[in-house]
Amino acid sequence: MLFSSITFLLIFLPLVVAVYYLVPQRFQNSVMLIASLAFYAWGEPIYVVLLVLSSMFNYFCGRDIEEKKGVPQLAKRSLIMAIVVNLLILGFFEYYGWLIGTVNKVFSVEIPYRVLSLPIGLSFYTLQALGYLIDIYKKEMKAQRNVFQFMLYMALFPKLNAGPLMRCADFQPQLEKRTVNVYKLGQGAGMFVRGLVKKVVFADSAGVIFNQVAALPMGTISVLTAWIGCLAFAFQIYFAFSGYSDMALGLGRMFGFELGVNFRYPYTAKSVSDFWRRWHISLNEWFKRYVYIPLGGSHCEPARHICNIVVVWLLMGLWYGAKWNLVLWGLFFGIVLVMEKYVWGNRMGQFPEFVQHTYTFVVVSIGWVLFFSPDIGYAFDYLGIMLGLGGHDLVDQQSLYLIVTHWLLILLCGLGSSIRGRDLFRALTEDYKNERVRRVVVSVLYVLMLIVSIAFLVA
Amino acid sequence: MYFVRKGDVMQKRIRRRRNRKIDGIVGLVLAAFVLLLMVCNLLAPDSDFSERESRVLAQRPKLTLSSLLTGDFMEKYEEYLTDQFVCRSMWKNLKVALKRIGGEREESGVLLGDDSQLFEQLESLNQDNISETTAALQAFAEAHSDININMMLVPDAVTVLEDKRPYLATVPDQNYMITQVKLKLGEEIGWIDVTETLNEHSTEKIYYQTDARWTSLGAYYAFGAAVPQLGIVSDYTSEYAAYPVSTTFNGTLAAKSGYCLDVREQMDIYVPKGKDNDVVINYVDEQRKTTSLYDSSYLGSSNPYGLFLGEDTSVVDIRTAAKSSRRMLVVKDSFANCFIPFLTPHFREIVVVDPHYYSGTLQTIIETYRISDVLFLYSGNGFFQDNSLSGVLGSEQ
Repeated sequence: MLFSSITFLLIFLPLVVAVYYLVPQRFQNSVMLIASLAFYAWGEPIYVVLLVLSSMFNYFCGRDIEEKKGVPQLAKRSLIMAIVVNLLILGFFEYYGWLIGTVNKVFSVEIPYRVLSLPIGLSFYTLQALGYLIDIYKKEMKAQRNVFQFMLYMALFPKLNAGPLMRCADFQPQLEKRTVNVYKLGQGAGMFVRGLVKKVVFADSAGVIFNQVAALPMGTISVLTAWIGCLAFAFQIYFAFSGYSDMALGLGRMFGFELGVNFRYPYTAKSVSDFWRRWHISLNEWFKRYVYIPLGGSHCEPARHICNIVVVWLLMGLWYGAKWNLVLWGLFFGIVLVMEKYVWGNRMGQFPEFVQHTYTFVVVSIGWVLFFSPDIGYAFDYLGIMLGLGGHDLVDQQSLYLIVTHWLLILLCGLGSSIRGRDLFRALTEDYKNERVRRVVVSVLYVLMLIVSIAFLVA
Repeated sequence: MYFVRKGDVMQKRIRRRRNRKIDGIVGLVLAAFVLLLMVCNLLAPDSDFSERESRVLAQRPKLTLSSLLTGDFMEKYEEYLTDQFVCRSMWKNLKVALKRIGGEREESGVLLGDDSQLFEQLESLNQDNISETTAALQAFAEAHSDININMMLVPDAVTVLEDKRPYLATVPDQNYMITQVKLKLGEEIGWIDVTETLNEHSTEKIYYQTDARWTSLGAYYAFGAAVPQLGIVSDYTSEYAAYPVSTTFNGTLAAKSGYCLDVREQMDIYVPKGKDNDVVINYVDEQRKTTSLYDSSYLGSSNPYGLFLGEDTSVVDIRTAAKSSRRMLVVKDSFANCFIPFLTPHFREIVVVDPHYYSGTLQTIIETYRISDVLFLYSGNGFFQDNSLSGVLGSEQ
């Protein structure tokens, strides 16, 4: 089930909230687990079995690794076995078709294969399970005793589809004890509505512009149109991802869970490294903790360090999806980050802030072209147009029409992804002398936001 | 460095307490609103059909084990909830209004031009489809060289009313497309060029603002241009009188797009002056006969354009009191409906076929009704979207 669906908003969520707040505290985890499995089964009626089996498998692996902690070699063997199985499951669903397709192309053979539909959330809960097992192996946490609690950690519906990723060690205390009250409920609901607006109004509308540009024949588009398309995609992916994260955080809080902040205004970054410290924070931290640092991180000779960065980014690209242009996307950012570290990073600070923002934005935009392109050839053609190669018009009627007919959306997206937008929203909801006026204004504002979201969902 | 003033802490605490209270209120208000929506949705009855979008709405899906396991049920259930959402059109209007504020000038394939003029966005040319249709038309003309065959392809409003297009909008070049058809058809079929005539009158109300079709006035000018080709000998300009029949017309483009323009338009009918204008109209499929070209019962309905020859149907047979021996077959889309009244004084019988709804062949019609003239009358969009014309043109094997 998606958060941005009528079924979720008007049936599932009200029902779960009502039951959760009515039952005694000791049943709340059970309610949450049943709700989470139902939530998943509604979207993936078959793959819910995979989620349950994967949870049970990792639960037993965790216990197994812990039992063998006296004998490091045995523990290591158990860990490797568990990691391999998890990666095989992920690989089977996410990379099998892609690999066979590539083999077929390279060796011009025809191995028949079926493209499997990817179980939603699989790549998220697999990473969480891997992190959990590694933490136990490193004795950073104790294995979970209660299989249902572990299943709830894996399947908790607010973070099931798209994160944020949580370490079990951080999550464990919340599984055992947490409180809810009407203030948390309201705060969570407010966050949820803000996230919903981001996803349904901003991301989806930006997506319409992007699709319009992507549908144009490549030969006819102007430089400006290409940039508008790229900008629209940048907004679409940011508002979709961060909106989904906000909704997850809000939902979590409604049920007393505190999930980590996942996006911190990434488009205000002053360098590409800064951008990635603000974008999908929980994912980047996962790769840092469980891949980058075990490889040696930055505490090793430069050649090894460079290699570590590139490997992490190749893996990150692959994690986003099984496509060659995503591998290239990862490689591209790996190289840019190495450059920032070793070549121009220190000199960046000398330039005016405007230059730093522009540099970051252009590099990230190039990244997005690699990300959204269906294949590598398309990506290079598109980048060529953006950079003014191939004699395309700089500006044409089409591009101006796109701006004139979407000026408000572009403006709001710009505001919404910047600190200034946040300050405006705060001014709108906090700066009141009269508390009673404020209550009315804020309540009306949130109801209006919900009304607009539903209008965009229904129509 | 780490010294924090006591006042700051106090202020922060006060701010947090204030915010807590607001959060609680927001939560309760949102919960109440969601509850209200739930109740309204439960109470509102389901409807089968959306007049406005002219499509069947999703109904509550049946729960079966297999539909549950494939996820089919869940998908259909979401569709059902969305389609049957309480006051659905109101939500859509809100969305369209917001997008309009944001500068958007296109919604569901409808362009919002200047002076509240709505346009149907043009289909781009599908070369294969057009080649097939024109080839079928040519073959048809060759097989019926004894019949006077003409073609009238009417440019759409967005082509003629160029000045009223949304600022900067790019629209496919329909004039070029129409010329292509003319060139492909060759000599066998008479070509009635109405583009020039309509362009000359583009400042007059020849198209509706809220509908994709032309007005009776537009059809009247086109008829003037067609007179020589159709072999009608008369001074048409003084033969008809216009009467307004409605001043509250609001067409399909307004409904389809959801643009609330508050435009009410006048509908005219053109009646031959001083002539015996008795007609008998036979709606062949429905086996219904009437004696008027107009059905005013449609005026108050959701399809006011039905005034002209009612709902779309396969074959309409019109017998007139004209002192002529000619019998005309009109193969058409809905643009022709307000054009046909102009023909009634000049043909003793007019058979109107809409290939979208007609499954037979034109050959049958020509034989049955002893047709002497054929007119293909389409709007640009109607013709370029069409995929049923070549079917009815083919002769029975």
